[in-house]
Order: sequence, then structure tokens, then C-alpha cells
Amino acid sequence: MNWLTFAIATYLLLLLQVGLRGLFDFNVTAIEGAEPNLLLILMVFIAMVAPLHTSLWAALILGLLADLEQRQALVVAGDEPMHAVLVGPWALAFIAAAYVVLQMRGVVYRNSPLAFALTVFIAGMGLYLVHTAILSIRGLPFLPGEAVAGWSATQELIGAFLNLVYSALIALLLHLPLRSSERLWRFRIPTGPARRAV
Amino acid sequence: MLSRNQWLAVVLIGLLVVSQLPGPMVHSVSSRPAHLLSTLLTPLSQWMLSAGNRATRRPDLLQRREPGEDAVRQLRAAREEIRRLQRRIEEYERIRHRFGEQLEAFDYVHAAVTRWSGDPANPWLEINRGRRHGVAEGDVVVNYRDLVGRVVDVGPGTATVRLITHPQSRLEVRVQPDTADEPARHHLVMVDAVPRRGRFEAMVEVDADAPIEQGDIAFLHVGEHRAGRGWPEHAYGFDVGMVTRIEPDQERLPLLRKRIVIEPFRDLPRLSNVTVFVRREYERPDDN
Repeated sequence: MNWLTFAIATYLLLLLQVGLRGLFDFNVTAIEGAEPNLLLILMVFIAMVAPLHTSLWAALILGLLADLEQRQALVVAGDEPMHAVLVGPWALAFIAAAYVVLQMRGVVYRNSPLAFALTVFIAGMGLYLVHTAILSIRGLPFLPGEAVAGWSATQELIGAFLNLVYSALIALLLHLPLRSSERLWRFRIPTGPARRAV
Repeated sequence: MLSRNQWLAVVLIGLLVVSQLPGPMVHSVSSRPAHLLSTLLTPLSQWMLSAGNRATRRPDLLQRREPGEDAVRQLRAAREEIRRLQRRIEEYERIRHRFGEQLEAFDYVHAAVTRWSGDPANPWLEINRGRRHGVAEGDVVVNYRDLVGRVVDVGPGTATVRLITHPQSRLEVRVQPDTADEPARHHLVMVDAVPRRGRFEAMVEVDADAPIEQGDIAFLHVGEHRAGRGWPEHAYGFDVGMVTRIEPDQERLPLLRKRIVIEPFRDLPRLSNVTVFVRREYERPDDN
């Protein structure tokens, strides 16, 4: 994989995700606070084509960036919660999601936008489940980490479901530009039994 | 030498451990790269966010109240506005008189909002001013006369601002009428911030006979009782919002208590510019 292309694509999608938050969240009550996860879409695109280790390292980088982009309010001693950049929850979740895609890609027709969107949805379920689980573990009495302020796993998963639906819809739109750019990525398409089965 | 799979396993275990470490410890390591990432994104994200916010921001409450084409109503509203502003000037004069010396110890740093959390349950903004510009943790952030929040994290060129709409926010506000017609109606109520529909709403309980009305203004409390709540004195007197709803407290004592909803005048997560109260260099504690 061409890592320069990866860096540029990651920067652009992260920029869009951060910069267009106001537009993505278009004040419809039902999906309030929902936003597409563009880094997830990029990760799925890479993991559907790239070799195993490349996919996992790319997922790790995307996850770390997602971690660095977030601020979590943690319950610390005193009145005010502490806002901290937690490293790990998204990184692990992205690796888990990449693993899901790696398991699925042998049976997914990657030229189809619908299949791509569906893969984003399924991988996203893994992503948000792992992320929610890791943050839910924080604050358990025997662990040193503080709980996230106002944390509700249920609320988080409901929000995650909306994010996933939104992400899958955006994935439908992004499939064509991503597919057209495949030449720039210089993927070494893996061959083997799973590939032949497609 | 470790194989690629072993490296991956080490990274996974490392991440799992790091993700469970205490916040201050992780933050001390991750803060620098996080601010570096913010700095890389800032120039373009600021422009994009500003454009997006212009398209989706809800109208300010004061604009919403402006009358339509009826000239008499406009005139009446203008008079009302003048009276309100006169009252506000008196209020500010009083604040200045009271805290003048403290206000002179501050500079006002104007900053552009470069991104926001997008999470109504954890609302924060990031601004394009940081340690280099004198911004420090705990600094008060306002937008004109509206209270926006406080700086909770500072990098070299960026800072994170927690909004007053954060679920953990606790504000002590004074509610009073918007006009000078009823100067006697002053009430002190305690506000607990609750995030609702992506913006700040505050539910408070007041005595049922307290003449708080829809349209009353809530200020951060300026009074003798300044203990607690963590806000510095120079933040007192800034607008928190307007009373938009009053309803009986159905859950507990509907005949004795009311609940009021206070909504900020502006769509705080979608602000494009803010002002930070920065303590002047010579006033800062010795931090060299």
C-alpha cells in the first residue's frame, strides 16, 4: 500500500469529519448528535483489499487519530470533571473492526456499493461494541482509570447505531471515489483460496 | 526478534493497558500529539466549521423575538430594547464598579472556533488560541455578553473549552425580567444544567409563587454568596440564557414548585468566534 496516499486520504477524511460536523448533524431530532464515521469507511476500504498486516496497522493508525481527536470527560476528585485525551479505546476498536472486515472480505463483492455499505455497517458494529466495552470497563473499582462522566453504555450504543446508519449511507456515496482511486493506493491484491472463492 | 504477529500482540496489550490508566497520566502523554493534530487540522477545519455552522445554526433567541413588519410593534420593541440595554448598562456598571480592579487585570483574546465535539452529552469547542497567546486552563470564555464555558486543556496554539451546557456543569444564576418595567422581580435560583437536544437547557425548581416569567434573563450570579461552583469572580454577570419554558413540577410537588427551562441565547456548539479572558502576564502566578 502506498502510505503517502493513505496519509493524504486520512488527513482529508479527518478534516471533513471535523470540519463538517455542523453540516452532518443537521438538527433532526431523531438523529441528533449522529455523524458519519469517515475514518471507519476508509478503514473498511483498506481492509477489504490490503494484506492482513497492512490493514491492521492502518486500522491502528486511524484508531489512534480518532483517539487523539476526542476529549473524554472523566470523573475525578472535586466538582469538575477532567477532560482528557484517552489513547486506546478507538485504536483497539478500529483493530477489532479491521479484523471483522478481514474475516468477511472473502465473501463480499467489493465492487458493489451496497456490499461496501453493508460491510461498513457490520464492521462498525464491532467498532462501537469494543469502544463502548473499553470505556464501560473504565471506572470499575479494581482498575486505576476514572469513569467517564455521565457514561451510559445504552445511550452510547443507541448513538452508535445512528452513527452506523449514517456512515453506511455516506459509504454508498464514497464507494465510487474510493474505488476510482485504487490505482493510487497500489494495493497488492491478496491471492489465495479466499480470493478465488470470490 | 519479534515477529509481526508478536509486535501486533504487544501493541494490543499495550493499548488495552493504556486505555485503563488514570486520565491525568494518559493525558500528560497524549496531550501533546493531540494538540499537534489540532494544529494540523485547524486552518482548514476552522473555515469549514464556520461555513457549516452558518448554514445550520439556529437563530439567536433575541433575533427570534424581533417583530415582523408591524411598525408599532417594532417601535415598542425598540423602546423595550433601549430600556433593556439601559438596565444592562446599569448592571454592567455595577459589575465594573464592583469588580473593576479585577477586570483590568485581564486581556481579551479573540479566538476562532476550529472544531466542536459533536456530542451533545460531552460538548466542547476547540479554539485557535493557546499557551502562546496567554490562554491558561480555567480561563473564562464568552461570546459578547454570553457565557460560553471554561478552558479545560491548553496546547501551544489551541485550547479546549468545555461549554456551560456540559452535563457536569453547575451554575448559580440570578433570574430577572428582560425589561426595566419590573425591577422588583429579582430571584436567585440554582440551576442544574441538563443537555437537551444538542443545546443547554437548565431545569430549576422555584417556589410556585415566584413571579418568574417566560422571557426572563438568567445571569451568572453576582452576589454576596460566591462560594463554590468553581467560577472566578470576573465571570459573574454574564448571560447564561433566557427562560423559555415554565411548567409545574409534575414529578414531585406540582402545587408548590415549578420547573423552568433556561436556554442560552446562542447555539453554543455552533459559535464561530469567542473571547477568552486572559490574565495579564504580570498578574499570572510565577510559572517560569
